[in-house]
Amino acid sequence: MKKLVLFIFILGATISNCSAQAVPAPEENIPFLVTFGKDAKKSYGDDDYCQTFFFSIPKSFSKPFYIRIFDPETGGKHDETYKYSDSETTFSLYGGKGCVSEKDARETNPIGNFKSGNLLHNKTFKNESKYDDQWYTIGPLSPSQGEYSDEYFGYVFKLICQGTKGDDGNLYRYFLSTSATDNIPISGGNAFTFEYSFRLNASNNQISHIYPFVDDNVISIKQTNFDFDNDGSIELSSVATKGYKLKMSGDNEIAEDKYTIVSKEKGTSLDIQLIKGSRKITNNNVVFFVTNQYGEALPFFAVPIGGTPKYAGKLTIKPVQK
Amino acid sequence: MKQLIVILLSFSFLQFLSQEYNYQYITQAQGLNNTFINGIVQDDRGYLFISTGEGIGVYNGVGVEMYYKKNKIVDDYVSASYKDKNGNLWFGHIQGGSSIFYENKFAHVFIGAGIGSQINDIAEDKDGRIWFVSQEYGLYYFTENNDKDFFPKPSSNRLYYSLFINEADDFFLGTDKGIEVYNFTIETDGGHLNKTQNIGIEEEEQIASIIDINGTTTFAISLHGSAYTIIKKNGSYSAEKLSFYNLNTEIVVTEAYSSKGYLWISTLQNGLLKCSIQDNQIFIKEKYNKNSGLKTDAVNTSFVDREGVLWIGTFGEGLASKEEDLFTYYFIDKKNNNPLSSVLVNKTNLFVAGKSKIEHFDKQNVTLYKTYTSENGIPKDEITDLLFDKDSNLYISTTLNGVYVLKKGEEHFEKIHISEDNLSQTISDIEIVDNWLYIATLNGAYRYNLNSGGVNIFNITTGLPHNAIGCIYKTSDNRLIIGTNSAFISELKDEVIINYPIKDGLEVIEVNDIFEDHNGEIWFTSNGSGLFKLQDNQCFNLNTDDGLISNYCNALRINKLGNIWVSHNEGLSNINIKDSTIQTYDQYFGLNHRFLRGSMTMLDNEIWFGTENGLVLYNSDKDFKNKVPPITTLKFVSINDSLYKIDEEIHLNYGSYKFGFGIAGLTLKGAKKVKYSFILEGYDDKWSEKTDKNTIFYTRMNEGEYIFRVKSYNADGTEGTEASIKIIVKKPYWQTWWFYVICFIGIVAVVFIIVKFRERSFIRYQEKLKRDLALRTREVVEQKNKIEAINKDITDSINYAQRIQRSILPQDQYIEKLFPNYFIFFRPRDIVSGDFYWCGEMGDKQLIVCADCTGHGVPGGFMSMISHILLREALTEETLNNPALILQQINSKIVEVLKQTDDIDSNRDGLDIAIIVQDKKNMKVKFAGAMRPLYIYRKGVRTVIKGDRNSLGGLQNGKQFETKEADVQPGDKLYIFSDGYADQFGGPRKSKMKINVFQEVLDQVSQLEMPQQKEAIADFFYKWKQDMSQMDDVLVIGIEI
Repeated sequence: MKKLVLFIFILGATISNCSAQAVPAPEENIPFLVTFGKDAKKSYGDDDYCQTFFFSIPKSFSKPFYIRIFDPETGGKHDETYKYSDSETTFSLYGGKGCVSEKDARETNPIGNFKSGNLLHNKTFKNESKYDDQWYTIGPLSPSQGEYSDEYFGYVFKLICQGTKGDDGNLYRYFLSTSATDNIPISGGNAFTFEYSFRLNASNNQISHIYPFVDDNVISIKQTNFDFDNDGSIELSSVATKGYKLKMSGDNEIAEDKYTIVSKEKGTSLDIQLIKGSRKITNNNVVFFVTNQYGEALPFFAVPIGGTPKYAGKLTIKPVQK
Repeated sequence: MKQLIVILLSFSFLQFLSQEYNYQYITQAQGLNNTFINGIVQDDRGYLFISTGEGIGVYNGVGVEMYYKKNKIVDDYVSASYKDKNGNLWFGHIQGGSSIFYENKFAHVFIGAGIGSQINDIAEDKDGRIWFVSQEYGLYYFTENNDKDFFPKPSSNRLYYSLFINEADDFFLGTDKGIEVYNFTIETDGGHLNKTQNIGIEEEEQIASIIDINGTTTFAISLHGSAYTIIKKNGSYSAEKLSFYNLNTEIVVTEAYSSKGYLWISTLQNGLLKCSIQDNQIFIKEKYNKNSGLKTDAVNTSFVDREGVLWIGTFGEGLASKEEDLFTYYFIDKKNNNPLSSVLVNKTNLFVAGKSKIEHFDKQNVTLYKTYTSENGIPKDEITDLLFDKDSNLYISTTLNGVYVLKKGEEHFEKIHISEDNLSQTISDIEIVDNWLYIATLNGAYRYNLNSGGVNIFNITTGLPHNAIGCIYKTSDNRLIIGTNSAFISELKDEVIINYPIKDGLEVIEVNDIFEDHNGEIWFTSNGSGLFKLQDNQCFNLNTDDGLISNYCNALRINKLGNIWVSHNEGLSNINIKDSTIQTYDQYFGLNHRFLRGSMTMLDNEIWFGTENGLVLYNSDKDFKNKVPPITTLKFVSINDSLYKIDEEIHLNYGSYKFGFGIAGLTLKGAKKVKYSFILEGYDDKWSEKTDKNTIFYTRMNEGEYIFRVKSYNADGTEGTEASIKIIVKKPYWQTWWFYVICFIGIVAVVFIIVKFRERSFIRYQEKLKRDLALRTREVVEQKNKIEAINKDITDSINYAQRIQRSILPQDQYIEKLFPNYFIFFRPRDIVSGDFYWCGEMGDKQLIVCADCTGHGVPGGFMSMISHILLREALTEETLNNPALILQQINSKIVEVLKQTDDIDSNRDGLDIAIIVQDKKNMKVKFAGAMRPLYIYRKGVRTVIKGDRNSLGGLQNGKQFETKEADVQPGDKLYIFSDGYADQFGGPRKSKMKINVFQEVLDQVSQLEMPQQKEAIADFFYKWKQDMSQMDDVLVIGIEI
């Protein structure tokens, strides 16, 4: 039995590591990221038509790497099209100083100097069949083109996806890869964001996970979700809590509530589970972010720092009968 | 239509020979810290500056030295680099800062405050301003004199990527939305960038590069490969789009660069494209990417250095270099061996044959036309040779299955039957002469008539030395040379086999290939014995001792330059007949695969080699010497293992030193083959032989002036610049002029002081002497007076003693009575004398004595007195008859009187004496002498009667004396004398007179009368003595009978 547990653990760790730089990560059970054109209604599920992701390359890695985008165009197989596909999405990759250290870059809303850093790559996609259901590769990139940050474990790059035209929804995925043509993860690489805009699974009772990281300075968090359409429930689990119910939003609504961090949760990730209900809502796009007691957004890591939180259970104290 | 054909050729064939180049890499192994290359630039010294994301690497041909922020670079991330007209190097950084390298060191130009985005390009205007293009900020410039100005956002909503400034000083600024043109003016309020126009291009694209090509064309290219030439018409610029002639994929351009008449386009996913522009089209001449052997397709920048070496800055695989290709490599399947045992080429076609397969390629594009396999009748066997006849029928030979022919226009090979013998099916070579096909087999050489099909055979039975034929070759004059596995090379001439011995016909040589040079001489390769030349029916050998890679030689060709190419398993040897040099090519040149026997073919400048995997093409047009001189530098100078500055003279104190010189010959082409020659002037007499050592040591170097000079030579022997340094080891202080001066002054001073001191001392001494002298004088005077008084007393006493002594001498009258004719020359040395004379008579006998007592003066006087008394006592009748008795008595008495004994301390005083006793009656004389003789002159003839050889007194030892008697005649003259006369010093040589002179004197005077004799004897004595002191008492007595 022990051998079986060990095998499962190793298998799980291996799978986790292999897909570490997929965004969304497999363990999140989120099918696509989503960004709508700037003319789309917010009720479609995107509150700012912009999604920023950061990629972290460990200092020990010195080879060329690539950031790959699956289905970057708008229209075609995976995207959410209204009437006809006339939208454009621009992907802009930044590195260099300020790329992540700039405060605006870490905000949940794309305002101010959120495009900080050195523009390394910029590409606008329309409805282009050659990119439909295909991978588009940015790179090769050099790690030293990024901004080095101890806080984020290496050289950081910022990829901003903006819906620059139209009202269609662009559904896409990322992969941080060592290959231009295949998805080969970088050992120790990671991806994180401060606001997550994504598509929920279409099928019922699927659970999506997001893992905000709680550092030592966090006393309490405030989760905010937008346009969840009351599609099931949202629960929080951690090393200290299991199944803590969070408020969920309705259509075109914002829901938020506060959760106080206990000491053992510091330095770990929280597991926020978006549990689809029995209603069949197929195109449910959600925006989710978590802020600390100062209103600063917490990063969601593709690979949860410290691993997926495991509930440690409650300590029950009973009087000892003499 | 032509384009269509080319495109069809490019895409229609599934298979092609992938061309591969020989790349060398500079990565971490050579010291390059970061393998993402952003820029390459070469300084005037020849060093290559490699800009990376983690510092600048400086490459010297051997290794890379990295420079970082701590070395005065603004930022480790270097995004752009540029060399200005003055040779200064400028660098742009990721945050907008800039650095410069000048006077051999880095320095900050601007730290980038307020810029905040990376420098994408650097350019220089006509006035020498260096302009930096910041991606988001805009432009700023600096000059070497630190003048500067900033131009933020010259155009709104733009990102800035590239800048080109043309001869007219127009600024072409490449943005993310096309090209903008500016001019720069300086007004009283400062500099102004004035936008003059946008250049219309089809799409608003990010302009990756704007460059000048050959000084005639301004070229721009966008990120995604849209290319333009910029043309000025009617005072404004416009862009004319260029199309790629043979580009079949999308590209992401990072940079365009122009050099050597080519356009070099760096792309991130397709490698480096070497292009030329013709008729508004860009022709891709070559691609340097993974397909051509480059490790990556991601190329960020490129550079062609002063020696023509192409440097490819990859993004992630470091800096790759590619020298001008002597060799080009083609692979069918790079991973799996695919031996190409035979190659055949003409101007348009390339045939390669391997096992069971022949492939026909379009030579120009190396694309496959057709493949012939077993379906076309080719046996499952290795094909050893390919040959076309004049009718374009293709003949092939095989290892085990004989010869086949593919007739023109047909698709199927047919076997040619020459024999049923198995050995005749193993073919190594085929050759066509006229209508004959010659076939080299293990069973001899077959001759097959192409018209009739008739067959002849040449083997041992017809005169060949062996049946195993290695090769057959037709010469230009239609001779047929046959190589066998024997000790001979053979020729078929007029149906007769002629065998030429290879090594005196004593060693079996396996001949592999034969070829004729331009002089009609035959060369052939051997398996294990090297290369041979058949000349005047004799064979000459070249082997590894002469420089061949190996003695196992496969194929052989001689190109139009007269160079002989020989393939070996290990590589190639190239023999230059003109200068008798052999150049070898091995893995360093990328020749990694074994060359196959007989797999070599030649066309014009090209030689094609078949290897165990793929083809190698040598093109003599690309084979030229690198005449760019290497730049010689001193890397370090160490003195006694301590490093010294190399840019100034080194001065050392006197001592013994070890000099060390680190030297470098900077060439980036064949850097490992650089050689050096050096001399240490002041020590060496001549330049050293060329060596590859790059560290030179000299030990035990003492005082002197030394100049170390070194020159480098590149791989082709081109002499480089010279570097030198002077080292001066001071002389020891005792060899310096100032020391000599000081010593001279010191000596003069010391002498002066000594002189002065001695002068003073002398004066003092003189004064003291004066005083002493006065004192002594007084004392001396007193002493003198005393001595004079004493002397007077003594003299008076001696004078008185003289009177006494003289009183004992006989008076002249008495003597004259006894001897009427006589003379006595008596001259005492002092007042009193040791000599005395005496005479007497008894009966009728007269006696005369000459005595010489020991000593003179007072002692002599005493002895003479004693002797006189003893003489008188000894005179008796008896003794007069025998005067020897007189001597006996005197002798005895002296011993007695003076108490003489034989003791060594006893006195030895005594006397010599001569006694003459004259008997006139009988006219006889008797003579007795002690140590004294008697001279008798008769009529001038001297007769000497010697005395006894004993003195009287002293040691006795049984002394005996004898009396001699002589008859005399009247007129005879007799002489006796003491030794004082003959012992006197004087004469012309201040020497002793000796008895001979005295005898001559007597001989001369003896004829005179006695008185005159005395005068003459006296005169001679005084003349002889001159002013010299008298040595002894002198007594000479003469009597005439």
